[in-house]
Amino acid sequence: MTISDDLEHIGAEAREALAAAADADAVDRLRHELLGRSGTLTALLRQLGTVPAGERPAIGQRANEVRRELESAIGDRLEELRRGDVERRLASEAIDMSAPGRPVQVGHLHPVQTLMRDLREILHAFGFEVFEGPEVETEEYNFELLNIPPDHPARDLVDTLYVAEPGSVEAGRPEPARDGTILRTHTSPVQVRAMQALEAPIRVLTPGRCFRYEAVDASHAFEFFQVEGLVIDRHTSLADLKGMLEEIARALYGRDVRTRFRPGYYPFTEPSVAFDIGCLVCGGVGCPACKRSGWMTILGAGMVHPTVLRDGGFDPAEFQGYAFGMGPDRMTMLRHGIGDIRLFFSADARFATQFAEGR
Amino acid sequence: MRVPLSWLREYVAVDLAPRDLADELTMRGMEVSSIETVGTDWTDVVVGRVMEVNRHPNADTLWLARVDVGAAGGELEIVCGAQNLEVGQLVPAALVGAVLPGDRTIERSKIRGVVSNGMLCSAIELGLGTDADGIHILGHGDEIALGTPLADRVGETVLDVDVKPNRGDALSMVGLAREIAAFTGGALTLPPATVPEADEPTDGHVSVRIEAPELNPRFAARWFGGVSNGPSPAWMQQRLLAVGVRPISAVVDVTNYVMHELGQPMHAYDAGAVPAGRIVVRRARSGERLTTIDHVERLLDERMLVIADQEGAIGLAGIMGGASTEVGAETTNVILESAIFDGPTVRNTAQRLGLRSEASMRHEKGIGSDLPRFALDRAAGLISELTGARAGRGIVDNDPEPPERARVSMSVDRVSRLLGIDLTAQRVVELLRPLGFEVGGGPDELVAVVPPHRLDVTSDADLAEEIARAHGYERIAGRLPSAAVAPYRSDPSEPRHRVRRILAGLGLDEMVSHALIGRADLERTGHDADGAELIRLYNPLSEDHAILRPTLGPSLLNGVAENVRWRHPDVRLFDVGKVYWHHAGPPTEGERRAESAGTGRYESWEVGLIMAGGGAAGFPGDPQREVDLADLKGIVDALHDALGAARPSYRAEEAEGRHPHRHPGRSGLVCDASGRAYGSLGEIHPLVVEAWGLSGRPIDASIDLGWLLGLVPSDRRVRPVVDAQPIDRDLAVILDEATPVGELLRVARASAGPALRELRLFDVYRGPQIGPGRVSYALALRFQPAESGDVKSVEKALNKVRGSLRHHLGAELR
Repeated sequence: MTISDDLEHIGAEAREALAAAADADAVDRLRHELLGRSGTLTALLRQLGTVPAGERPAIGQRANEVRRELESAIGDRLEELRRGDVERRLASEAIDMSAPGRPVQVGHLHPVQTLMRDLREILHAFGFEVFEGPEVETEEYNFELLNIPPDHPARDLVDTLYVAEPGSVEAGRPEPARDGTILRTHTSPVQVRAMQALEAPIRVLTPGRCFRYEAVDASHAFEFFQVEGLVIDRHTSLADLKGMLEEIARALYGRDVRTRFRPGYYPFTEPSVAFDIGCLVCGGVGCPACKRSGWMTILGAGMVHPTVLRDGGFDPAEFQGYAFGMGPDRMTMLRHGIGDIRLFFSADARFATQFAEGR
Repeated sequence: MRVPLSWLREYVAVDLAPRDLADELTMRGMEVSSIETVGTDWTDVVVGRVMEVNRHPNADTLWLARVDVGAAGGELEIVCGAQNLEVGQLVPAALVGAVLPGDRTIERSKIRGVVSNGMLCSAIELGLGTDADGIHILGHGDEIALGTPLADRVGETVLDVDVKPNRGDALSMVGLAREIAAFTGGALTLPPATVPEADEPTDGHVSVRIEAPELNPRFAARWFGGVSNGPSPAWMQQRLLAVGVRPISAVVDVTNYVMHELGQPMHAYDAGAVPAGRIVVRRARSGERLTTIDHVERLLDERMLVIADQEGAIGLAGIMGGASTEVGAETTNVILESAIFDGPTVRNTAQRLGLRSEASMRHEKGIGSDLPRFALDRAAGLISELTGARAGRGIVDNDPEPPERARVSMSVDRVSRLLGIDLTAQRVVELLRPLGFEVGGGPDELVAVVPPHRLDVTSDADLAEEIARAHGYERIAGRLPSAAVAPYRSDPSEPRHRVRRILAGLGLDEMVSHALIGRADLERTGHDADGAELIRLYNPLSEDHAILRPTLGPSLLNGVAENVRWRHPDVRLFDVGKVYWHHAGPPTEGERRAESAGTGRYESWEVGLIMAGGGAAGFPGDPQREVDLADLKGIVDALHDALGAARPSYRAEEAEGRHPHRHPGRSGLVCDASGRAYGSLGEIHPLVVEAWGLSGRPIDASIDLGWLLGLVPSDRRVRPVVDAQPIDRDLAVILDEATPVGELLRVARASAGPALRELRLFDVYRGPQIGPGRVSYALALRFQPAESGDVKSVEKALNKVRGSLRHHLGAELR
């Protein structure tokens, strides 16, 4: 046998053995047997020196070819085996894809607070900025400066919670605080505070918590929220108020909402306005929710009373403007079909977790 | 105010359907809150004629009537106990199956052995009056077809009108009719007010001395002799019942009737009980007593106005009469009062005595100067007619001259600008005249003479509202806001909304709780319920809501308790709300930052967090564990991270001033870099847990929101992101057990220099290898050198850390 025959023989045998190798270890062993320091192909290549000089280049070239072929075949075989391993592993790892995910707790926002944020965003687009004031107020700001003098019948519109004179409750003889401290019954005192603090033009929103002496039932609460708006400049009119209220109603209840702008009464506005939308429950035909009138009142408003303008530091001959007030609790009840206002002050998860950021 | 339409229609012709009239009134500012029909609670009650009346065969006091109900069932035998039946009468017959007010159902029944096929009804059974003695006789002739449903005949539509407090003039049938006439162009018909006067002069029987003229601008009186004060007629009783007034006697009913008809409150005195008819109007004397007609003795003072005789008070002016001069069935002579009293005084007195009435309400809102006399004459005419009384000649009246009418000037241009509608002087005149205003002047400056009943119109803004009402609010064209906007100011509520969203994102549910809590809430929370800093209410709705909360603790615990009650023990809640306190004297530094109306009461926003029950919600294979303080700190840290504020450090609370609702060994403070505490957190005290009916180890935190937001840097500069690998090093540190781990972290962080990026505690070991009283901590530090492989600078920084730990904390390093 010549070296040439040996060469081809080794190549053929190696290819067969490679095809039969069951795993990467077997391939490695084979590589060692062929190409290692004492491998069969290595040994054969060492014998090239014994080949006559004339044949040497041709046999040398062939020997290198075989070596390259085997190296490449080994690589291919290893890759083939690795892929097979991965596939087998993947096949063994299949799981039940219908199983539920590991829960991640997501919190929920309070629907009234969310509605107040939405109102803020809607009115922000019209240039209204939030202005805040204290909840523990004085009768002066809550009533007097709003054109509601003591013993005025308009005080019947609200029942006030009075702060006690310090020490009087403890002594068993409660009396109202002598300095006239009360819990604000509306956010209107903030309007006066805003007028006193700011220059015209004024365009503010006054969201916040209010308190009233009110027996609690499904639609009455002694703590509730209000959002009021106030505009003061030289030309804003009742017609501007109407346009603004209609736009707020459209933003909250859709472009097609029916609205009704009618006379109302508040001591701090003149003329005063009550603003209704078509009943959201019955669509205007009349139902218990709208007391069969087809309308629901969502807003009270009016042109700021000249006395209130003066109390706020503006000359009514020169400045004018409007104010409006909304009840976010009631609006939230309408928005989500909530039947009982008391739920808003409960932390009951069965209620609280129904509200999501995307509404 | 309840307004029966048949009564209203006596003064103005209205051809609108009730619903349309209600809408019209509402659009004119007289809001109709409901429309009620009297008689809708009757079914199968029809008109029948009595054909025959015989004694009941087995009972002396009962009758057996044969009644023809025409188309509704022909002739029926009905047993009846009333004694006023006569053949030919038209009577209300409730058929078998009929339903009467109060859901009373009529059945076919056997009464003393005789079958009764229905029932004949009295006024009280139908809700038409107080008369229970006899059958309610409807007539004697052919005026009503037999079998007609009774509701068609005596049913009534009643509007409930919400008359606003400034429109006292509309609080009557005539007042409302006047409004309707103005808007529909109809004519107003006033009731007759003619009095057939006798010869004897009124001032021979009555004299009035007004000692407090500032509180009683007008007092008119009449005298009547020969009064026969029986019940008032059925038509008057029916109207009074329809407006919600109980009929009493003819004289009293007339005063109530005229009050509802014209708006003038009146009072009738038994003249025999007023010596010489001498009446004094004066302030009450301190300590004076008066028994009012409700037989309650009232203690009076100088702020109240009384009607008195020579001996003492006989009535509370404008509110309620006294028992001693009350008109009764025996009364023969009557003094009738029609007056104007000071509204605020009436209001204040009525409120303090808890005696608000229809009369006091009308005085509070004010009465036009022309009304007392007209009403007095109207009532006098009715009393004469109904009781056969003779009225004295003339009237006793302190102020018979009508006062000058108020004049209000206005600028057409200014009102146009206020309303946003184009007006001319002529248009203004056209709009105001039907409402009773006489308008002169022009072209821009107009003067309106106000009708005497419109006490509410005193300024041009009031006229503007009248113009808008007459023009029609519905006809004003709405305008979108023009562009003039106020300068930008940041929104104080915005950061709160941001905190809310972050906390919801961290898995907590938002709750909104009452600011008003009870003494029991504080006591259950281990809080002093007698502290001078508490703001208490003078008139709380209940003891449960009598104090403004000084801390969010009770609110948070209540939130957990509420969920536990509904078998939802795994709770994570937050509340962004205010706490409140009182502090007399100059404000502290913190109080200067808090909100206040300047009365020594302060309020400040806080974030409250509370967690209870299971941590990870059960998932197959995951270990179940209760949430702990570390979970809560993690939330607090994450809130800081999300806001961009530096994370706080935590340290144990001092015994002094510790939050009493927390476990003394597991409560701490949330501190900023300067060590100032702006919040607190901890495990709820086991006794508090028990007091709230909870179990396990709930944990809560409260953080001063203003301070927290102040920790957020107003601008943020980025650190350069360098092309160099970070270098990680671990440190093992042994400390005395008494040294808080927070100190270890603080000192390590402070001494590591600016290249430190992360510092993490990853192991804690106590045990024999390091000996008793000592703890081993393992810290992982990650540094970011400016250049790749700058190990030298990192080692230098580490050495500084080691040195500081040894020096400041006596640490042993391994």
